[in-house]
Amino acid sequence: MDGVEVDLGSLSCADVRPVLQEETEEDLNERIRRAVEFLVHGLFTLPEQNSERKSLRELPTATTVVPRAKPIPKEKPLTKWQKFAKSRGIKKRKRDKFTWDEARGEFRPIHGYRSINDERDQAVMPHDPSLAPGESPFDRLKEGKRKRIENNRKNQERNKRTLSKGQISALPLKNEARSKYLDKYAKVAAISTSSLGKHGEKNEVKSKNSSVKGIRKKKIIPVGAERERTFRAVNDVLKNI
Amino acid sequence: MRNLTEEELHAVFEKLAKFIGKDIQTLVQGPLEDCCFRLQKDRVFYVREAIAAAATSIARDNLASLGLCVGKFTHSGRFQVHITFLPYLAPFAKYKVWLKPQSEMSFLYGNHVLKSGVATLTQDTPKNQPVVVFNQSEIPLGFGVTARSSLEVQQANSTDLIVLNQADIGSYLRDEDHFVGCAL
Repeated sequence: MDGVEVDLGSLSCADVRPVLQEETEEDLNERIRRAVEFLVHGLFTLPEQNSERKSLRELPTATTVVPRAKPIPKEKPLTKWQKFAKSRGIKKRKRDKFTWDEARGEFRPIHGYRSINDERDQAVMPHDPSLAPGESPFDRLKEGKRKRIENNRKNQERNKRTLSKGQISALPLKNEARSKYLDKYAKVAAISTSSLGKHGEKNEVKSKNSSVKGIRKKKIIPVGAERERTFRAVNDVLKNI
Repeated sequence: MRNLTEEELHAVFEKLAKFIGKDIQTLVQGPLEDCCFRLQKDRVFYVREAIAAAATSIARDNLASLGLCVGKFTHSGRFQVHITFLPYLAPFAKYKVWLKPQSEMSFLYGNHVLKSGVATLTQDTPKNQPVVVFNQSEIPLGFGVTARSSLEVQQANSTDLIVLNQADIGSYLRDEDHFVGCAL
C-alpha cells in the first residue's frame, strides 16, 4: 500500500520507505498521518459483526512477529514421581471423584473425608495377628495415616528444593547491608529501657547461629616459629631486668 | 590447648624471672631443650614437644592436663605460679629462705613464716621479693614473698611475718581434689 505496511491484528502500521536526509519534521509527521490513515481505513474495511453496536469488528490474527522481552522460561525439572511415571509409561487418567456406595445407598467420595473406603470409619475390625498384645488397631491406622502425610510432605519439600536448584535459591536472599543495620538496631533496642540498660534484666542480643557450634581454629604454630617466639620473649624480659 | 601469645609469654617469663632471674634461659634452651609452653583452660603447661604434638589430637574439653603445670592466668589476667613448678624454681632460685625444723610443719600447713621460724635468709634480699623456701636439709618446701628486706629482718620482732606463703608442697594433700598437672 504505497510503502505502508499495516497489520490490523496488532493494530500497527509502519512506513517502510527510506527516510531521506532533506526531510523535515513536518514531512515525517505527514508520513505518520498517512500511515495511520491507512490503518484506520483498513479497520473500516473489516466485515461488520451482527450486534447492537455497529462499530464492532473482529480483528484478523496478527502477522507481525514481536520479539520476547523476557528470556524463554527454563523447563522445570521433573519431580521424582513424574520421572518414575515417564520411565514406566504411567499415564494420568481421569477418574470420577464420587462413586456409588451400595451399603449406604448414596454417592460417596472415593478418597478423603467420608470416602467409601475410610478405614477409620469402621466400628469393628478383623483381628490382625501382627498386632502386639495391647496395641490398638485403631491407633495403628491413625499412626499410619500420620506417617504417610509426613512422608508426602517430605517428598514435596524435596521436589521443591530440586525445582529451585536451577532457578532461584530456595533460601531468602541475604541483604548484608540491611542485616548489619538490623544488628545495630537490635543492640540499641536491647538497652532502650528507662535506665538505659543499666538496671533490670538485660535483653541480650542473641547472636546469629548461636545454636551452631563454631569451628575452633587450631592455633598451633610450627615448632621453629614457636621457639623463636619464646626466645624473643625471654630476651625481652631479661633486657628489662 | 594452644600456644601462648607473645603477651602471655611475657607475663609468664616476667613472673618466673622474679624467682630465678637469668636462668629462665635454661628453661627454654637448657638440658630439656625440646620443651615448650602450652595453654589449656587458663593453665600454662611446660611440656615436651613430642607430648604436646600428641596432645593436639585430644579435644580441649577432654584434655585435663599435660606435662607440668607452670601456673595459671587469673581472671584479671595476672599470672600465678603453681607449686607444681617448684622443681624448676628451686635449683635456680636467686633468693632463698631456710626454715628452722620447728616451723617447717607450720609452713607446710599453709601458714606464713614468722621471724622465729627463719633460720637463714639470702643476703641483700629486698622487700616484696619472691623467694623459694627450703628446710635445713635443702629440700624445697614451697615459695612465697618476703614481707621484710633482709636488713629489716634483723630489727623485726620474733612474731613478725617475714615470708608470706604463696604455695607449699602441703597443698598436694590439702588440695588433692582439684589438683592439676602433677607429673611431667
